[in-house]
Amino acid sequence: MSTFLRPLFATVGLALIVSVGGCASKTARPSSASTVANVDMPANATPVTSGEVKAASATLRVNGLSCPLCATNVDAQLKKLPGVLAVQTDLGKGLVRVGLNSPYPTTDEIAKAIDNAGMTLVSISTP
Amino acid sequence: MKNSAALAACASACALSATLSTASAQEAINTTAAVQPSQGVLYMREQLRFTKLGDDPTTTDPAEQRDGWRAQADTSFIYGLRSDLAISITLPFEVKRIEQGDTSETDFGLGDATLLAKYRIWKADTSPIDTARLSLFAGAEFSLAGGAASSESVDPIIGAVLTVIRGRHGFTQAFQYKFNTGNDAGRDFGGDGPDDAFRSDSANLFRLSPAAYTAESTSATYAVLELNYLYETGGDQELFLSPGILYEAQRWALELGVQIPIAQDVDERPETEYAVVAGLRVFF
Repeated sequence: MSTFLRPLFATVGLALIVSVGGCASKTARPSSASTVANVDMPANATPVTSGEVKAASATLRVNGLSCPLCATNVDAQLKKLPGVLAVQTDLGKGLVRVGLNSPYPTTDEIAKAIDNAGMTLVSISTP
Repeated sequence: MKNSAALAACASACALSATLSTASAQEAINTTAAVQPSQGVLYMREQLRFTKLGDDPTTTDPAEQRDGWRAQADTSFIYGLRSDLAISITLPFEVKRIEQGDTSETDFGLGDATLLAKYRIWKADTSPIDTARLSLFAGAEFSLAGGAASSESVDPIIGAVLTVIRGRHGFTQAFQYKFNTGNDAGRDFGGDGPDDAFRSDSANLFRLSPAAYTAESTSATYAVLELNYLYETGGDQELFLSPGILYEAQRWALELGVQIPIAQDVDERPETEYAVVAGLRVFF
């Protein structure tokens, strides 16, 4: 191999190794890729506008979920919150269902997480 | 190819091979977007670019005319400090071959790194999918290691970018100005010379698949079409049509495109015949 190509391939190879390592890493982020699911707004959904979201699950209506990568951003930010067990995103409807447990997150914490993801929280509802 | 009038008419749109990369999803191949990775998220982009030189208008002597190519591997790391602020660094490695008459010279090494901050000043998320965002960016291009691939100067960069996503379409318009503080006379490729460089990039990403997102959507494929315009204050300017394709999954994306000159008015360096770009984006 020509000597001047070695540093080039070394650079590209290092970048690829870092990329594969990032894809395989389970510890760099608190979540893997966003779980997709058919999320519907519960029939008797109750809006929650303040305080703790004390329920086994909540459905968030989120705007700005313009792509699959964006959904992963939301997943990552929500799973940083204590009390958030699982996140399911329905990109088609702009709905995010979160499984909750004690200590329950507050509406402000959820709104902040969505904001940290770069999206806009429209509403929080519980069954 | 010279068409100053056509280039002037297109001066409000497009730019060449801007490898600024502080964005993520909905970002075209040669055009930055007004989006950032979310807070605490690290994103890496590896972009390989091959550029072939075309006609050399700087001399009529065949023995002095330059021809050649450049292969670049740009490695960018972008980190979300906040949802509206990201920083990035791009580390370029290049191999360049210039032929002049009966002589040829091959250089390789680290090019100038680019350090940028991108700050979103406005956002409007109007529906589950639709959004509009405006960001400003600033930073500098600087020498890492000197040598043939380096300008050996610190060149400030400022810019602004607007991204609007409506349904299956994503539109981006970006402007960038680089102040050249060093003397780069003798460099062969657009934007690397002794002049300041203004770039205007326009991009349209059209989602080929899926037609509409569903609950099962975990990926998307986009057709990319860009107009990339470069104006150097020495008077050289080039306008490129850049079609491509982008496949985006939940934590990675692949991009592939070409850049084809559709108008050129170049006197100080060789023209660009074409460029081919391929890249990988990974979210950690």
